[in-house]
Amino acid sequence: MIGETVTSGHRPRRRLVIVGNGLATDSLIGHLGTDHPWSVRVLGDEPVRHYNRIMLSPLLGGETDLPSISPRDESWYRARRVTVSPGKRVTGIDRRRRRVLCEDGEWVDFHTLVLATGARASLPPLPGVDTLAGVGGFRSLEDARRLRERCQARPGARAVVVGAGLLGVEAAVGLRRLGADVTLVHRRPVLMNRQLDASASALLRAALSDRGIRVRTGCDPRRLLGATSVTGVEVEEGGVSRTLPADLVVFATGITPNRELARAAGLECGAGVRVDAALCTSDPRIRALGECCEFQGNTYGLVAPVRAQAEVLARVLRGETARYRDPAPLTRLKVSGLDIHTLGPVDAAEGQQTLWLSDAAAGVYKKLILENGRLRGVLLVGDVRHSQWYAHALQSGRDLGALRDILLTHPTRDDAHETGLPVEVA
Amino acid sequence: MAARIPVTETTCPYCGVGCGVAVQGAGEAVAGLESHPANRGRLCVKGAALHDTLDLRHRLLYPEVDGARVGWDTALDAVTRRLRDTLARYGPDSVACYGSGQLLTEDYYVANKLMKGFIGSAHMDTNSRLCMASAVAGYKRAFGGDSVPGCYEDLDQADLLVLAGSNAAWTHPVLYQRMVAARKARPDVRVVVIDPRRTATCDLADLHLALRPGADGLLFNGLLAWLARHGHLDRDYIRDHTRGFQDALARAEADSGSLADLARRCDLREADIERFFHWFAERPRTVTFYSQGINQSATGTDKCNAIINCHLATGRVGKPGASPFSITGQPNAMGGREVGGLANQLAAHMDFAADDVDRVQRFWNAPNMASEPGLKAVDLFQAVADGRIRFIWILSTNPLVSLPEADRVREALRRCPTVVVSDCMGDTDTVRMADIKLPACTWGEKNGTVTNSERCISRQRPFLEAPGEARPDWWALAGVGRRLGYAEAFGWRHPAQVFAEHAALSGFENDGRRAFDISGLAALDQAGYDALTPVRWPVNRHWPRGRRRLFDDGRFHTDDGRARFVPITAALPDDPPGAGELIMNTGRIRDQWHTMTRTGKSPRLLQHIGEPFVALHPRDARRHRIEDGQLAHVENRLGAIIVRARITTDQRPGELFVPMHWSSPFSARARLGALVPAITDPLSGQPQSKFARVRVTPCAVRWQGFLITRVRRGDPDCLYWSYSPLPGGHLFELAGDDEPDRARRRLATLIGEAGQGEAPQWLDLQDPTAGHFRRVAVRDGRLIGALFIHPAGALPERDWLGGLLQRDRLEDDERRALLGGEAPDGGAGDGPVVCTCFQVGERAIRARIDAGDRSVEALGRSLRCGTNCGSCLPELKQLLDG
Repeated sequence: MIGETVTSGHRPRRRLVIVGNGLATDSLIGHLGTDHPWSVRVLGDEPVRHYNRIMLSPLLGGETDLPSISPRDESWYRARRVTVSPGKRVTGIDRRRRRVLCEDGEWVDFHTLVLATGARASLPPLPGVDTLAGVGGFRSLEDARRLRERCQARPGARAVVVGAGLLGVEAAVGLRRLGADVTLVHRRPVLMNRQLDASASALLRAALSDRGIRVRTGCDPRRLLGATSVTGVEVEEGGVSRTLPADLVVFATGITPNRELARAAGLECGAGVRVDAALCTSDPRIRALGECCEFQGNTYGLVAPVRAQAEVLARVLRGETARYRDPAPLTRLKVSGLDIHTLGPVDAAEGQQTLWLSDAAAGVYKKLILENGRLRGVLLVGDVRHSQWYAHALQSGRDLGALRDILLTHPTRDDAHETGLPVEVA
Repeated sequence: MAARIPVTETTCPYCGVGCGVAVQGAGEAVAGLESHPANRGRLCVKGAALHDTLDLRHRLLYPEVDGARVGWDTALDAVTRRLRDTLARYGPDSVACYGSGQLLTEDYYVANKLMKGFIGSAHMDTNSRLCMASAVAGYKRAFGGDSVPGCYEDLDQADLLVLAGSNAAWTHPVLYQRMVAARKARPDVRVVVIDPRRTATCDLADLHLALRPGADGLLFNGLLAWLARHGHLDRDYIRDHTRGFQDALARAEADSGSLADLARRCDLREADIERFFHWFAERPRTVTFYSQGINQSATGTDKCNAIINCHLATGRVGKPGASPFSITGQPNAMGGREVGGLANQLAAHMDFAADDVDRVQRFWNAPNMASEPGLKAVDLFQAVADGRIRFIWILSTNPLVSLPEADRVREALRRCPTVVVSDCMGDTDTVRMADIKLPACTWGEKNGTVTNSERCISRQRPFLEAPGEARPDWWALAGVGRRLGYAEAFGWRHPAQVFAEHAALSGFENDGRRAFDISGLAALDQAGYDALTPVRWPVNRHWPRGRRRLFDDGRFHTDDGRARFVPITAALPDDPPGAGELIMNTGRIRDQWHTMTRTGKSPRLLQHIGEPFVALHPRDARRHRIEDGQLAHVENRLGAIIVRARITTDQRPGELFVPMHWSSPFSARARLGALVPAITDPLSGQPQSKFARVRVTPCAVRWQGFLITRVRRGDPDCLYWSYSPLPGGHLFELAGDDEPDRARRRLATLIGEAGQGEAPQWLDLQDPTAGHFRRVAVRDGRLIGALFIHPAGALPERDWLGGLLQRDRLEDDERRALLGGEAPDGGAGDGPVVCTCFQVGERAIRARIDAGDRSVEALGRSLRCGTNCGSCLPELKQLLDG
């Protein structure tokens, strides 16, 4: 499995080492293509080659299986001159000698290193979080496997998911599919409050309720109960304390970039590994992207910016000039047949205007935020047919004044941009 | 074997063509009656949609007195009591009756007899006054009687067809199609259309003379002088059969001057006038086909005689293919004239000469004969307004819409102590004013006769039971006659008996002096009456099977048997527009009839033109800052309407056209009668409906929109609305000058359906900053209604959403498309309907033209459009030419 140096013609290829094998790495390799000057080695700490993390919820729910969400085969990597080493945890970086040390003792040399170490669930500092079995996040194949086993071992297991953000909702749905008795707990009144407004939240809540998921908003966990395994969550709800019985608790209250490796190597870090617009860390031979990085004070948990970073970095690695710019955050979610796509801010700011459409009974809600005829925010629930068009219109910043009357219903009609550049949404 | 569906042979209730209609069963289907001489199987779009109008929606089904439902006895007792009281206190002159060319001859006869013989009032006039009173007066002056000389076959045989003031393509489509066929069969035939507007009829014209409004009389005076000058007179005919030629010619010569003068005053090109004159001179077989454009004028009678003068001077009266031919608007205007149902007539072509009064008195054995002419329509309602008339019985007409200065008429009726209205419809502007409402039978239920424009008497036969307590008008009128104590005079049991009496009166002491003589039908029994086939009067000893043409022997109904030339000084309207004013012309559109009380029930008849409009020339539009499709105020000192602007070079600059049809149940403010001044022809009393001075200004609105609903819960409360029925529901076009959001809240309450159910699901779209709102209601997966409001009216077509009312279940993709208002496949539908018969839309037609169809025939083969009634052929041709 180790094919260190591949030669092409007379000149030895330069070694590119990527630490981490998540979506950022996959996307980067995809954008690098087959025509690049590198010999690539990917060091991943998960035991499998690559899988699409976005599909973790369906995987948890048993709607899909690992092969189905692992689309890459050997030939795909071979064509790109990429060698993947799964189960290879990196424990250190020797910047001076340009090599990384793996947990198994292997040193791997690089000309350029890419850190794509991702992020992990950040568990709140509540009593019991660190000590009790049955408590964890929902970020990895390992998390999915653990939750699956627990649910299957105990049919009708009571699960409390804390945090109704994108991941929490997905975890709740996955667990419900497994037959768990799920309660989704959210501190705020609006679910997915970074992406949804109250109307969209109500639709999501209705869809979740239809699935048999109990949703509690304005509900704040205080501590976990149990001796060795968790047995419940004590929450405060409208000033009243109550106990939610639980056989397992999933925290989806946020993520923490995996920056430890970089920090130990002396790279400049904030919340994540700091990078510039060329995704370069404080060491010009080391780049970083994805959920582990920090750019202009932002860290990342959604797919679109990570993909955009991968595209930029791939071009940089091919010797082109490219600069990364944060795209509008696009979120896509599918819960029990309810599609939700959001892009940009949820609520109109001063000087912005809101257009909306709703068919509550059919679970449809659309909201657009315009500023001087330009699209600033998009929220689509139940009817996401035009999300690509909106994403493109938003990113291009073009004036949509002439389309305003049909913007909510027929944006693609009479419009040359209908078949414009495809925009990555995931 | 299945039983054969019975077919009833009857007559169409719309225009004066009087087509025969074959009705299957209880109105399941209608078709043109092959055996009827008027139409030989053809029907126009209105006739072909008759079965759409038979439902009981909006029908008046029970008598009401002062707002309370009562039985017929109570209602007729109330009519009689109030009539008696009025007579006792104010005398017979305080009583009036206002009838309609929609009444059957039998209804008319009984009303006329009751009024003029037994109540003793001659204030018995009808809406025919608005239609052909001038033609009647013109015929009487020239021929000594109200007699149309020709017949429809003349249209097939003429070498020159002069259509003066007639948009036959839209108003008399079946006759127009006859002319089209004649023109096609004989390419030498020439067609001249004299009309200020370029109408659909001009499609057939070899020459369109778009003359100055009101200049028709002058043009025909010019023709007479020119014919004399160029030696084209029939001097023998003039000598043998006429009187007064020299005076008439002298006046015509003085009036019309040189050709250049004539051209200038008519606002026509000299060459065009000359061409018309030459064709007239060269073609002895000439029919001048004239209608409301001639009649509805302060000098309408003179215009008729100016036309007739030209025909007399060339001997073209009552000959094959040659006659001056007045075409009536209404199905039974002629029947009304026959019984004498006009205030200046007594009965059966007799006026108020002493021996006529005496004769009719003896025939009727009447105790209270009216001996003087009564008040004609406009004056009659003036007398209502000033309190001289205190009791009025209105039958089967809607004067609050159709009369000039209609707002004054409304005020007059409001003040009148007793207003009795007999109508089949429960909500017309006029019914709303009634103290006593009497439910009348309507087409399909009525049993009687009508006479069309060519003197052809034909039967309207019933094929439906009268619904509710609806009764024939003659029955209600006779009931009052009996209650007044005249049991014998009003004792008929069947309309056949009324008809027989009417026929007998026509022959009573006639001796050939009165043109109208159907004494040959006086002996008809009920079976004979039921079997009566269409026949053109006279029907008497000499003409037992009727007579095709009158006066072909050169003998007229004057004392000396000679026709009269009438010297005419053609006066142009003496009320020219002032600065900033325009001239408003009025008329019909293709698919509507009168005030829409019947045609307004047929969804497909409102597809061609669904809103009231004002047509104006682009130059005027620019000058008055009006854009195409925008709402406009049309107003003068008498009133104001709000209608949609259509900018078209079919109009002459300075002139507007507004359709006459829209009334209060159909639009917020479009009763154009309110704008027409009560200027009438001094001889005929016919109002000048086609020449009103008005101003036009843009109507400032803050939003426009539409509302679709399964049930009609009320009229929208907003500046402008216009109503159309839809299959399974209703459509309102809307506009307002208030806050769009406020309008949305108010108007959405009009959306609903019959019966109680769970609350509907509401779908909403809002762009509050822009003022753009859409609201849709769905219940049990069915569309209940929709309200769309937009500041500029930039909204989808209504056809897709409206069509969903016929669906019991919406597909998911359809539901998702509701707020977009367009079919989910993005197909925008067929576009506005052009061919109403086969529901072919403009977009579909354009697509076929793009695909290579190069003629109306080709389009007809591809899409069937234009192959039934043919009334859309001019538009198809326009699309092909465009």
